[in-house]
Parts: sequence; C-alpha cells; structure tokens
Amino acid sequence: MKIKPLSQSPFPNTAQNRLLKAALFDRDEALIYWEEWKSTVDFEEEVDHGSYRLLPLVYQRLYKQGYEDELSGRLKGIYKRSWMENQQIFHHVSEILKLFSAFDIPSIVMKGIPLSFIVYQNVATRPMSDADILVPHVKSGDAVQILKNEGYIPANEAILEHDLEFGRGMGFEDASGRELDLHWRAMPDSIKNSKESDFWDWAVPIEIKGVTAQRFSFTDELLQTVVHGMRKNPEPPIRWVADAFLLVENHGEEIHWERLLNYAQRYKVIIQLQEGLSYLVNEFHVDIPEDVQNKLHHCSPGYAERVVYRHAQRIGDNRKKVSFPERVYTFYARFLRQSADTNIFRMHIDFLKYSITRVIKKYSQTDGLR
Amino acid sequence: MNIQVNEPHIVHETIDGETILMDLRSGNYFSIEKSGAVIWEILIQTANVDTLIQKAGELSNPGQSAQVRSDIQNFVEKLLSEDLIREAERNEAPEITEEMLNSLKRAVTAMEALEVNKYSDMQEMLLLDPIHDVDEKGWPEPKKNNDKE
Repeated sequence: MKIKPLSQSPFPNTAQNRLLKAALFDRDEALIYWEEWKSTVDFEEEVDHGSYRLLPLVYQRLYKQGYEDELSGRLKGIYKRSWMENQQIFHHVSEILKLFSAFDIPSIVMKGIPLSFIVYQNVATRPMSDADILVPHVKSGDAVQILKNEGYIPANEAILEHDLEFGRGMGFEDASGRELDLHWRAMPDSIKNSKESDFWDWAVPIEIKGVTAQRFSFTDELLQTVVHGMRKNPEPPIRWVADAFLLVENHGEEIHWERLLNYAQRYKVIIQLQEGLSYLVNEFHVDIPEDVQNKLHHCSPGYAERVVYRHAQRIGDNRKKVSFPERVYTFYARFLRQSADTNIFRMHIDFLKYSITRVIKKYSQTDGLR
Repeated sequence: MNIQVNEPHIVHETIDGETILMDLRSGNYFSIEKSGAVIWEILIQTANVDTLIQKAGELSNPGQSAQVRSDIQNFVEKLLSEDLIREAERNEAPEITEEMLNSLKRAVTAMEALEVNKYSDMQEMLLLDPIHDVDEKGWPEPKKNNDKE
C-alpha cells in the first residue's frame, strides 16, 4: 500500500533535497547540487534549522577537501560551533552514564551520539541539541530519581507517572539549561507487543569519553532513524535522510533486513518503513535489497497504523500550538499507537475505557488530556 | 620536558590550519592559528618540548633562531598556564619525522606571533548567530561594528 505524502510531510522540499545531495553524494555530483542550492536559496534569509544542521557535513565533505567560496569562513564557523556544542553534550552524557552505571542501570545512547561516533565518525558533522539515553523500563523510576537528585527537572511532572507506565520517555533539564531525553522504551509504538529484551538483545558496547555504555545495532539504529524521521516536526526533520543514507552506505553489510522487517511489523511501523526506504531508494539511490523492498510492498498496514501514520504526518511532534480537535486527534492516535490490538471494535471499547480513566484523572488531579 | 594534552578535559581538533580546543570543565574555548597550529600538532605528536625548540631554532631563518626559540618557549608556557597541556608521565618521546621537520621549517620561516586566543564567555558565543553576526572568518569572530548593516 502506498500513502502519498501530504504537503506538510517530513520529506525534504526541493531545496533541502539539493542540500542533502550536496552533503551526501560524491564530490563532483555534490558540487553541482551545492551550486544549485546556493543559487536558489538566500543564505542570509532562507536557511531553515533543518538545513542549517546539514552545513557542518557540507563543510566536511566539500570545503575541508579544498573547495572555497564566499561562504567558506561562515561554514567553517558553523562547523566549529557544532564541534564545541557536541563536545559539551558528549561530556555531559558521559557524566550521566557514569552515574547510571554506579547504580547498576544499563544505558543505551540513542540517536545523535552513536551516529556521530560510529556512522559520521566526526564530532562536528552531526549537530544535536541534547542527549538521548534509553534505560530498561524496569529501571526507569530509579533513573528518573537519580536525575532529580542531580537537579534535573522533568519537562512535565504532572504526567510523569502516567508516562512512566504508558509513555516512551521524557525530557529533563538542569539549572544550567543542559537537556537530556530519558527514554524507557525504545519505541512508543505498539507497547503491548514489545518485550523488555527488544533492542537490548543486539545492543553493542560504545565508549563515550571514557565511559562504556551501549548503542543499538546498525539494524535497530536504521529502524529508529527512519521511524523517528517520518514525523512532522516544527524543525524540518530532514536529517533522518542523511543519517539513514550514511548508515546504509557505511554499514549496509551489517544490517539484518529480516529483523528490520520483523520489528517493523511487530511495532506496527510498516508504513514509515515503506515510505522512508522508498524515498531513500528513489531519491538517493540507497542500496536497499530488492527482496526487502518487495516484502515491504506486500505488507498491509492495519487501521491503527494508518491513523498513527497520518497523525505523525499532520500533527507530528513538538508542535507549540495545537487546537482542541487536534488534541483529541493526538490523544486518539497515541492510544492507537500503543495498542497491539487488531480488532477495531475491541480497540475502540478499550479507547473508551482509557478515555474515561484519563478524564476522571484530569478532574481528580491537575492532569489533562494529552 | 615531555608534555601531553591535558585529556580527558581538553579536547582539540585541527581544521584547515586552525586548532580549536575546549576545556570541558570551564567551558573555555581556544583557537590557535597558522604557525601556532603547526607547532601544536608537532608538539603533541613528539611530546618533547626541548627537541622541538632546538629543531625550530636550527630550521629558522638566519639571525632569528633566538627569537623563534623564545616565542615557542612562551607559547608552551601559555599552553601550560591555560592547562591545555601538562607534563607527561612518560619519559620517552617519539622521534620527529622528516615530514614534521618540513612542516616545522615552513612554520618557523614564516612565523607570526604565536597566539592562543581564548574565548571564555560561553553565553556570548552562543548568542552569536553563525550566519548573520560574524565576520568573514566566521564564528566565533563577531562582525565588526563597521560591517554591521
């Protein structure tokens, strides 16, 4: 099944597509796209945050290899700033990992940090704003308490208890503004189908500033990258294309496609994988085995998956202003995202029960619809 | 004296003839350019300050040996005083290679002041927009007043 991306989908627009190709393709081809990008985008006015975050990679791939123009100084500066900010994040996360380790809490570093170390193999080329750490669900309460003891404030204390049971994780910030996303589930989808050992079973060690933690296998990292990227976000989330491209280009032989498909089916994220991998193949010629593409093409997502995907495309994450109907839609989609049921009638009976429980909680505490 | 980078607190990278360093404890950011970046690279690879100074003196332009030696000595002292390097525990140091000597010769024959530029106001640095608020050298050099529109 093919779902046509909506106009406000997380897929790159024409300019972003050119910039990605300038950052990822071989030098000669990349330079053509870079010149095209520069001639169509006003560098002073039109660089969105998603595009800005690709510029250190462009600097690394083109300018550090001898290319020069009027933007050389500023691109070098953007690269240096990313280097400095990422060094601080690595240092910060190593302190947290050390603490978790002292309390026997296993940790997986997610997203930008392992990608920087293992896939980009460069401190600056994959800018990030915070660190993401996954801990086992059974240790989530302990991890939260440790962070609180260290002065970290959860982003939403009112729903922390609820999210520890049903959610994926929560953002924390300390007094100096350092941010950390603590996750206790690797995927927010189809929680009832998940096992505690999922993702952890293939995790491999990684050393961050002298502290040993774990990272996802390349297979699981690719799944996370594509699924997380397929969501609308105020900050154009186009970086998922670069992450996935480099993951497959540099570590394609280590990707176990059967596991990727199995997890995608079990976690009900088939549409994200269909759409994401198709885009990578069609636009960026990423080498995805044909039988994997065929198998994906023949998968039929269920009702809940389609609603969840549509919601991710229309509303997505981190939106600041959300209308009441959109809040209800989000509440509904989040319930379906966690549900493992395939029976639509039973699913909606469960939704009704869950809604009543949440409404009662809202009026008995200071909680609200999410 | 043998030296080493003051790791793990000091991180560094040399990019296009400029070495950038950061002290993760204080948040201070440093930049060393041109000849200084070359000397930094050789210094951290060979580790032996005395050998580096001696070779730099021998390779410098006639009549400038003493000045070059003194400049490098001051440079190393500045690096030590900023805690960017420290005395090494080990006594042995790797040999200076032919390639390093060639780089060193180019650096000392065209040597400008060996400066360690320090940026200690992190807040100010982070407020500086790397696209609009910087001069032609890029972040973290702010646009000069007369460059501002």
